[in-house]
Amino acid sequence: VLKIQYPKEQMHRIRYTKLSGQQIAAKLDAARVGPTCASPYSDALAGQALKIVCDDGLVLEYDFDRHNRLSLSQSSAGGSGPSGSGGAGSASAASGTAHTRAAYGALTLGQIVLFSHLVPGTQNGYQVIIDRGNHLATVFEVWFSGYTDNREVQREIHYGYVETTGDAAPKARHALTNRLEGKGFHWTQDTGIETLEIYPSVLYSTFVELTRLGGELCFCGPSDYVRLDDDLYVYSRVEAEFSGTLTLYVLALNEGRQIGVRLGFNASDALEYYMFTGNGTSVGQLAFFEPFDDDGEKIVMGGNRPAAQRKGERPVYRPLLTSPAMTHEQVEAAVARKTVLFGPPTGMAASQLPESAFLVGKQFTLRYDDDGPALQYRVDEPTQLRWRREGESAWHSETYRAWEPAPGVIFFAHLLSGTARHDCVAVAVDFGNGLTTCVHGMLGTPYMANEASRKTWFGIIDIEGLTPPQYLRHRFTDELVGRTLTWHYAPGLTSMHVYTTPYSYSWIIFLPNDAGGLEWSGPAQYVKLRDDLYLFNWLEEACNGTLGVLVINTRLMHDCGIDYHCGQDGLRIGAVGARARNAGRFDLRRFYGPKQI
Amino acid sequence: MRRETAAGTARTGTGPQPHTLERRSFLRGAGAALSASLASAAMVAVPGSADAASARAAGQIDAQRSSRPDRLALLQDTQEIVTLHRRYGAALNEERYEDMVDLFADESQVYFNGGIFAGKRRGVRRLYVEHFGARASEPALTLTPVHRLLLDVPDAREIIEVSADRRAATARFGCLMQVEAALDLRGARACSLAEMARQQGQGMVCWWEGGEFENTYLREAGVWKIQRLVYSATASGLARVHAMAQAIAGRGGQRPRGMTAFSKVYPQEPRGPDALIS
Repeated sequence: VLKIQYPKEQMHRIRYTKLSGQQIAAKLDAARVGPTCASPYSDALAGQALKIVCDDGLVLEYDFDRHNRLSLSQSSAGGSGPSGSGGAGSASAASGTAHTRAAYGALTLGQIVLFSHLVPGTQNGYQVIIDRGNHLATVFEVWFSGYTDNREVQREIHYGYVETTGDAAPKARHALTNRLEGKGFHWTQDTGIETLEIYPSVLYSTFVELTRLGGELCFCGPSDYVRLDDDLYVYSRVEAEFSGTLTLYVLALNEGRQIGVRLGFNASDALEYYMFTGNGTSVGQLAFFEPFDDDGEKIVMGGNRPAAQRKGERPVYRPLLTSPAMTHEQVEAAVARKTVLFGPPTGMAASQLPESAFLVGKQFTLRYDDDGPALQYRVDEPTQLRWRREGESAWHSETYRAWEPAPGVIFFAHLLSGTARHDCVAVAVDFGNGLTTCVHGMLGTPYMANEASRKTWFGIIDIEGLTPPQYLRHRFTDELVGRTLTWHYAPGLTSMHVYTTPYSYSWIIFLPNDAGGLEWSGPAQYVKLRDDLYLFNWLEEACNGTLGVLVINTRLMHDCGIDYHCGQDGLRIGAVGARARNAGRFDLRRFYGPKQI
Repeated sequence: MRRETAAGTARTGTGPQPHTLERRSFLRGAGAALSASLASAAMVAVPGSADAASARAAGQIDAQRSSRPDRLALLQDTQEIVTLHRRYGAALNEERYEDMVDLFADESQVYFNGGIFAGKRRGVRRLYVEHFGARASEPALTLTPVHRLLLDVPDAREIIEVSADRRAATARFGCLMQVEAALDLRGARACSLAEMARQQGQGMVCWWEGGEFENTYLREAGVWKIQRLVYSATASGLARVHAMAQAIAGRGGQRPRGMTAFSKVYPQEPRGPDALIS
């Protein structure tokens, strides 16, 4: 019987080995035979000699034989070898003119040739894209051991052309682009591997590994988008903060085809170096927000970001660098030192809905199914309530905040003081339908003591004068999956949510020209409260550990909610609120759920 | 001609009382020479006198005339103050904050965003070098705004007055100011959005506003220096310049909003003022 092989750990939970330079050099030795490929290689280059001249001084002179072997002579003005590429065998690939022989693989897509090879004796390689029609060339120089995590592939893009005897150098060049921004594809490689790949940014992309990881969660990686012509593009991403693997391909929009290469070390530290072909289906196109005359040839960073200091440097969000994991003792000390419940509003709360006093004067019990608790409430003030578990005699007083995101639907949240894991509850109560859903947050996971985890309970309201339903409940939904909304919190603080899978989502921060910028993702849950009203929660796992809980009203295009977080600066629950705009929708829901075996 | 104390005093209600002297006013631009002429003419108005005293009065007039500053010298003073203001703007725009400090007198003050920064090498330097200058290296610290760019906006309200003894002056300059402040994200470690924005070189809000300097100057070792600088955003200016600001700033411009004023003084606030404006 065939089985879906779900991984024991999702990508963000895998403790990838910090490979040394020597280990990487040894593993790359296995690639002397060149990349493998499930499809036949092209012989388009066999017997050819090419001289690729790049604008930054890199010159690559190739002689290709008829057995997927090449001879390379390379030089660069100013020595463009990878900086910081330490480790054994990591000598600069582009500082000399010595001839190097290497195995290569080549694939074609129309007039485009993509060929890939490593440089033996180094940790470097080239992925070269040539347009045989206009002789333009784009070279992705790649190398290992160029970052703290040696296994993370680094890259530098060189733009140039193939020198043709007797012809003047072409003036045009391939260039960075935003013309892929907002697109998404379902790809099936010749290996049988299926992915969903979404390009909502000019710096990053989202990918869902339907085959490798079972399609539960989406992940993000720093990415490049290069325009070859209106139909043909180069896309690359590095799984930074994960395996560090490079995926690069040329895609043809009209045909829905790809040719590509994958280079890196998998979770077992085995080298993956293969080329692939694939077929793709568009899953949609989002809006994108740059000025209409901006084609994205230049990435516009904020003025406070220093200029790149090293070759290949680019913005990469590395959440654990800024929010390192804490121990249980550190968490306890931080909570004791400072706990802030609904403190002064921050930028994240600048657009919040008005607080509601709906609950004031009410007494009720929220009863949750499936061994969930029964929580009794007495609400005396707009910001203070009392609660107790059914059967308890003493009441607990808590600071709370409440909002009314739709008529008769109240969302409120508070800490459960005195609990061992500093629990909180974020509760949606529908007084119109007698239903409630509670997201119960608590600190600590097997991975990080300051990382929140959560349970979600469905139940009913027990209050005088209201008879709740016996079978009807709020339920998890995939109605939002594929939908994309921008969220404006405050000036300078706008993001876009891509509700990518039923169990995760990704968020993108806009650059100064409103192009999509840095992106990250986390596990999420979607609960339908009413038509166009959803309770959404997410966990910033392997990140800063935040649990966020929101009620999204897609009629108002406004949300309300909280974030619950513990870090070095203590424990806090803060209000969140933003206004939404519709950015489009991908057709994604059909790719999820149990498969027909 | 007007007679007045330093323009900023009325606005703030605090600060030293500089020279209360007859001043010659100069409208900048095409009318400057005419204004200088009229001002000088006003200065020579003499109280009426009896014939018997006419000789003595004439002698006084002669003495007064001989002590009256040369019109050309007054124009030169005016031009030097304009140049000093231009140098202030250029240094700000080029982020030469130490150079900005050098434009101030030893015992100078800056009134900015609810605070008073006193002393050239103390408060004034703290404001420009430590507060404004920290913007690039530690932008998250600049919750209270910093000035980024200054564009001179000559208008009819501008006035420069030089004291009769040419030792002091007051001036009022309009401007268009680009202001920047970090997003107020207390507890920002909880907020990946803010952190990601910061890593993109953002996490700041930036806007243009109409502003006004009402400064006093004194001559120190023969060189005009800023004795007191009072900057305030002008409500009327905001409306007036907003369209212009949008044209300049394009999509990056955001509508001005309330600033976070200084609420603590140095050293409790390491980059803060020496006193708060009451």
